[in-house]
Amino acid sequence: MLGLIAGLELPSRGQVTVLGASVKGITQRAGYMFQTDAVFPWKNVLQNVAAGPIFRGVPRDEARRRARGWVARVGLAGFEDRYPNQLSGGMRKRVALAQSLINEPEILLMDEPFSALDVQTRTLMENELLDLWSQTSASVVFVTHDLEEAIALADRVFVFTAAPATLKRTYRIDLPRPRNVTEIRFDPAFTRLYEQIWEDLRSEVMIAYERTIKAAHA
Amino acid sequence: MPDAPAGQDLGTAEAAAEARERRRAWLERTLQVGVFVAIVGGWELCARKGWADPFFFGQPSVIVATIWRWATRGTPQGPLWEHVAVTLEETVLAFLIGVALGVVAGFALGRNRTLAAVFGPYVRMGNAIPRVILGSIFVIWLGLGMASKVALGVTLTFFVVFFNAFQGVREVDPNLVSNARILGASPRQLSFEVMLPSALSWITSSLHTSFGFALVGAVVGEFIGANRGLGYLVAAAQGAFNANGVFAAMVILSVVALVADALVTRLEHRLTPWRPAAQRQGP
Repeated sequence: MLGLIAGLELPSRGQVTVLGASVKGITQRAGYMFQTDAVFPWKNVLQNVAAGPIFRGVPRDEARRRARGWVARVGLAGFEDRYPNQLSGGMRKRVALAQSLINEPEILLMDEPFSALDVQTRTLMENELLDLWSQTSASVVFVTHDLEEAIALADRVFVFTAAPATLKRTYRIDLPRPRNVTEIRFDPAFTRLYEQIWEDLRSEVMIAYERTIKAAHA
Repeated sequence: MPDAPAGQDLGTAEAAAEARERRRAWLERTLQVGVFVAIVGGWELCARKGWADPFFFGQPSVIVATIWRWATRGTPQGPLWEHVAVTLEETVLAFLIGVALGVVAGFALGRNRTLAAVFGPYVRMGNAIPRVILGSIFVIWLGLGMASKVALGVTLTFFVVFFNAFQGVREVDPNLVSNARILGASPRQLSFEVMLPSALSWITSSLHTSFGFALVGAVVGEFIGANRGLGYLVAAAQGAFNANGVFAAMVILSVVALVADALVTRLEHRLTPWRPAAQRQGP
C-alpha cells in the first residue's frame, strides 16, 4: 500500500489518488522510511542526508548547509563524517529519518521502520519521531504490527484484515498531545483502546496464524 | 568475598591467555618457515645428492645465484630491469584498458535489458574461447611488440571485470533504488549515484583477479613471441635448456605479482573507503 502511495508500484487495476492528484510516477511530495536500512552505505551521514536536495537540483553548498541542520535535529551532530556501517541501528534510523524529512514531504510513509530495533531504542525513536513530526506539517502513514506503537503514535488506527488486506475498521485515538510513548501506555484510555482494537485484530491474527500452520503442514 | 579476589584472578588469567596466544603465534610462524625450509632444503639436497638431476630440475642455490647475476650483470638478453619494466608496462596497460572496457560494458549491459539480451550470449561465447590461443593471432596481427601482449591481457581482464560489474549492477539492493527514487533521483543520478557505487564493491573485488590475468596475458604473450620481457626470458632459458633460468624468471615474476597485488589492495581501499576492514580480508 505504501508503495502505491509513493508511486513505486502502479496499481494493477483502478487508480491511486494522493493529495488530490492521481499517482502516475514517483510521488514527489512523499517521503519514505523503509523497514530495512536504505541509507547509502558509500555516503557518510552528511552526504546521505544531503542526497535528497541534491537529487532535486538544490546547489551542493545549500544542500549541505540544510543537511547539517537536519543532522543536528535528529541528534547526530558530530557524526557527519561517519559511514553507516560505523553507526548503530538506531543511529542509522535517525539518518534515514533526516534523509526523508529534509525534502519537507507532505506525507511521510513509514513501513515498520523501527521493527528491527531493540525495545528501548524503539521507544526512543518513537518519541523522537513524535517530536520531529510536531515541528512539521506532514501527515504520517505508519504501517506496523505493533498495536501499542500504533496507538501511542497515531491519530487514527486502521485495522486491516488478513491477506488479501482490506480495511476492516477505523479507530480514532483521542489521547492528548504532546504524548510520551513511555508514559502513555499507562493511561487508562490507552488500555481501553488497546482492548477494543485487539478484540478486532485478534480474529485476523488467528486467520493468519492458522494459514501459516496449514502451509507448514502442506 | 566473591568479588575482590576475582579481579586479581582475572588479571593473571588474562596474562596467561595472552602468553598462550603469543606462543601460538610463534609456533605458527615457526611452522610456516619450517615448511619453506623443508621444501627448498629438500630440493637442494636432492640436487646435491644427485637424486634429482639439477640439469632438469634446477637447484635452489643456483637459482638464487642466477637471479643475483641477472640483477647485477644483466641477463644474456640484456639488463634485467628492462625486461621487468616491459612486462610491467604491458600488464598495467592491459589492466587499465581491460578494466575500463569491462566496467563500461558491464554497466551498460547491467543497466539496459535490451543490450543485455542482444549482447549477453556473445559475451558468454567470447568468454568460452580459451583466450591464451588468441595470443598467436595477436602476434600475427600486431607483431612481436608490446601491442600483441596488451591485447591478450585485455581479452583476459575484460571478462573478469565485465561479469563483476554486470552482476554488481544487477544485485543492487532494491531498497536503495526505491529510496533514491523517492528522494528524487533521475535515472541518470540513479546510475551514477546508486548503481555505480554499489557495483564498485563488486568491481574492486575483481581487481585482484584481473590484475593477475593481465600479468598472465603479458607473460604468455611474451612467451609466444617477443624480444623483451620476463616471458621472453623464460622462453630463452627454456630454449637453452636452462632450468635454473626458467625458475629464476618465475621467482622474479612472483615477486612482481606480489608487489603489484599489494598496490591493488591499496587502490581498493581508496575506492571503497566505506567498507569495514574485516570484509576485505582474504587468504
